[in-house]
Amino acid sequence: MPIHNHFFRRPNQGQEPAPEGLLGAGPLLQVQVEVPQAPAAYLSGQGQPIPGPQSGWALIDTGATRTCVDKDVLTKLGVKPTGTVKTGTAAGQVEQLLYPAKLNFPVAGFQIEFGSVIAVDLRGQTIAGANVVVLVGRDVLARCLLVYNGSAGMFSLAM
Amino acid sequence: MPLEKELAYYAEHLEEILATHEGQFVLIRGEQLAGGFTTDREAYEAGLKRYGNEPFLIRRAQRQEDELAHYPALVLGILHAHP
Repeated sequence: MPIHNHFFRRPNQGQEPAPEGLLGAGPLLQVQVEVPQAPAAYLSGQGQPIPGPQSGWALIDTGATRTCVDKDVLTKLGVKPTGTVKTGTAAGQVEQLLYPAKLNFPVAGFQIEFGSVIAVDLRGQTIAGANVVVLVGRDVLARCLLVYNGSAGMFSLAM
Repeated sequence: MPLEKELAYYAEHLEEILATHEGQFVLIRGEQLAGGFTTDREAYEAGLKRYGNEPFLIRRAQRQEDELAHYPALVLGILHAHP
């Protein structure tokens, strides 16, 4: 089972934990959003180029029921929608498109293929200088062990 | 919005779809029902083979609506809020 441990440390103070680092940034992971295997095989079979991975950061969002990906990132991958889902917002219910996607967490060593992620507008969602392109929802966390140790400034994700 | 035609077809033909495909993942493109599948992955692969890399609808054929999805931090604009 791959395990990713992320420690926030105070600069120039050895190994002293920095709870404020985790508090400010939250549980962020580097992510590459990629064309899933099936459409990649289709494009390859048609002699068409496979769009390259889109890099950014994923925020683990325990409040999100399903994983969300920035719609611009999905557009750049050239994948097409395969469904819709109703989402609850402050203004009532809104229908959002669903797309197939593959998430690769290179540092953590995880890869997940999704039948569908929710396309949302994450433009401008920057946390501690990192562009957030994915919200990792409880559909992923259902397969994981997540430890959030606020006082030690660390989180751990095992899949 | 993409898939409008497909969603309208699904809503209008729900009773017929349920009669033959209840519980399956149905594949719809335009106003054509391409079939029912055991998993959404099978439906997606069939859609790619039949229609190519184009929008098509995959939906589990069922009477009750799917559960609402929630991601409150984003919709409430508090994704990068700090205390």
